[in-house]
Amino acid sequence: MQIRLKSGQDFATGLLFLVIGIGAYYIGSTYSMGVAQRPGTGVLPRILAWCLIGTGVLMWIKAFVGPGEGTYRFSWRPVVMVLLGVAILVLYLTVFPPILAALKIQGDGSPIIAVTLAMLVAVTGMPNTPWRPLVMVTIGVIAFSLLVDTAGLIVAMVVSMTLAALGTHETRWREFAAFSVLMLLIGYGLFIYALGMPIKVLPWN
Amino acid sequence: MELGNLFDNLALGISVAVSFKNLFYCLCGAIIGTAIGVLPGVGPLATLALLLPVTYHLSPEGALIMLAGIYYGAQYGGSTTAVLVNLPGESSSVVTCIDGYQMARQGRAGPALAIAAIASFFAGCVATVIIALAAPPLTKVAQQFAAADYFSLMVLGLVFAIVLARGSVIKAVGMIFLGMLLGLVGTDVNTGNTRFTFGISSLFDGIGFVPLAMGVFGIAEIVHNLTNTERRDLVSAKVSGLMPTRADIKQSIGPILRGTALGSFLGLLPGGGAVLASFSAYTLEKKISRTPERFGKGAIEGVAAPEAANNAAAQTSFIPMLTLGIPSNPVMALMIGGMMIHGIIPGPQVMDQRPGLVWGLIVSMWLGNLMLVVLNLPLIGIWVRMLLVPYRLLAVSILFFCCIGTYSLNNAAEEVLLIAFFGVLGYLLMRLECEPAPLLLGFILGPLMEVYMRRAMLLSRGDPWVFYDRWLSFTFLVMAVILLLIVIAPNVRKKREEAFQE
Repeated sequence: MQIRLKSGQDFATGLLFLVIGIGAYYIGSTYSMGVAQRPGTGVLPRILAWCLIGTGVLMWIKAFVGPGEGTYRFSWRPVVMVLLGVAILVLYLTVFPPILAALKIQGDGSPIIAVTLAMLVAVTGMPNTPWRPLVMVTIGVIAFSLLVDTAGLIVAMVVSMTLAALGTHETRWREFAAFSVLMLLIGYGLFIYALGMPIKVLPWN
Repeated sequence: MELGNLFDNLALGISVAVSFKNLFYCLCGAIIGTAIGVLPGVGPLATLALLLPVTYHLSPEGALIMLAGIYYGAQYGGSTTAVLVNLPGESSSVVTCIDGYQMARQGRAGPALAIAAIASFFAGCVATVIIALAAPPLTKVAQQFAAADYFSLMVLGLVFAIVLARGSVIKAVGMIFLGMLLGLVGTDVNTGNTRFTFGISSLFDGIGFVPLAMGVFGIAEIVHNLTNTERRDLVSAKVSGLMPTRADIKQSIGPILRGTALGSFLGLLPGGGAVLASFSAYTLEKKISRTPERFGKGAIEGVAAPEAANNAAAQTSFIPMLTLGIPSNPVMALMIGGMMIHGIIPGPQVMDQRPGLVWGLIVSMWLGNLMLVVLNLPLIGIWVRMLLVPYRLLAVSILFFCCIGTYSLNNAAEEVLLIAFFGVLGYLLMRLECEPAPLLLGFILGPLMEVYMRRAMLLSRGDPWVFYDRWLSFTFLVMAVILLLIVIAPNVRKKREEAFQE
């Protein structure tokens, strides 16, 4: 199937701007506008939302009728992955709050994780996108933030570095082991010993 | 009298910069800067973002001195690898590759490196003097600015950022809006209402500058580099005989002077900076040369001019930041971030309230340049060996510093989560060919613009014509509109695309 689209990249950029713009307008519409002498909370958000929507529309015009040759080859992969991302968000919003409440987890970070994962899925839908580095590095960072408060710095660091190392098939594990010990020593020396940060280092302290 | 003041100021600066601690930070900055300059795939932006949390624990003077050292150090380091292995360590040394590497292949790596270092050092010295001379009068002017003028100046700055961004103009515009929107997240200082926080308490104070910069410039860069693993061939050219011949020096004097002048000017422009300066200087030399066919085949002018220009621009871009509190490029935005972590609000008042900080920084730049010449030339062998560190290990260590650095700021695990979010966003933007630099400028300037807009409206009692009535504000806005029209005009657009192609 072929559609008249000059650039899939421009289309995606336009979509991104439009989604954020419309979202910002929708959320910002509850903010007060104030009076001219004292502009309220809502003035700049609304202006920016309109600007983003306008930019998104321009990108779409460029994507459909702009210069450039050929038609864009339609493929299902990006569409499916974006929808999958949206599904993750919907699932998060409908299913997880009761579970979190039942488990008495005060997951302040959980919305950020949900949005990040949804975006991650959508981004891997782009053509020519090897998923491994992106997914593993992102998960590595998330793992660090989930572990550091409870399990301490060393565990969090080792887990996140290992996850990141899994992100590329070039990793030589012996070399990585030696290097991670070196990094831990540097990290400990700089942040804990030299700068005296009050960070929990080991699970039991 | 002005001159007397200058000497007093410089004396104050020297007393700050020459203290043992600050000399040490300057040296640290210069060494780290050179190292990241040498390593491709690790830019000064990522490094500055990585080290922001560390500088939190230093004195404000030490912090800025070190951050500045990293920035201009990276300009030096980038040229070393450009000449020796045809790999631009930094985007600002891309053009140095063209003729520098050719010189190295002809066995003249030594002179190329020496000229690059001399050009950089000369440009650095001149730029330091320019900063010292220009900063006080500009600060005086800036103190006359009313809220409306500030607002309009920032609009002009953002327009410059659009004009000078690579790639699509519409995308750059969108990125600025997106950045400003991200800057609004959190509690509105005037009314106390929260905006776009989605009920997440860690967002009530706004999105942190550090997680944003680390995600967009650190994590996104790692992922990008891990996906495009290009082979690095170490053509270790033998560096024999550093000394350039007399003919080399004679040929380089003109380009160095012109490069310095052009770079100093372009550094001042908002949105400008080292990359633009080096490209323009190379093009200029090629245009005015009597033998343009030599360029690309090892012309020493093609090394001298861009190297002088990028270093000059790297330094003069501090002027708008120090005098007006307005970042002219993302690196300066990070410097402002560094100041704000220390509770210093950037603006013309900094010069009066903390003269030691400003002048110490200026003097340290000159010292740092001197250190770099001394460091770089004899140690070239060591720097080149750093290229042997495989990227898979670099990636892990960048990730390491991103996580621990952000966490160490407030001991807040949620801020680390934000890195993950901005990492994915940054990678997406990279793939969509949206430059993250305008985003960062919008993020810094957006909230400031809102403050000045409100102040101006309050002072004018709600009359929006205040932006039109004040002549300074009016001039800035007219300039912004003209610039925008120029960049949209079709034939200029074509030229601009050509210019960025080169």
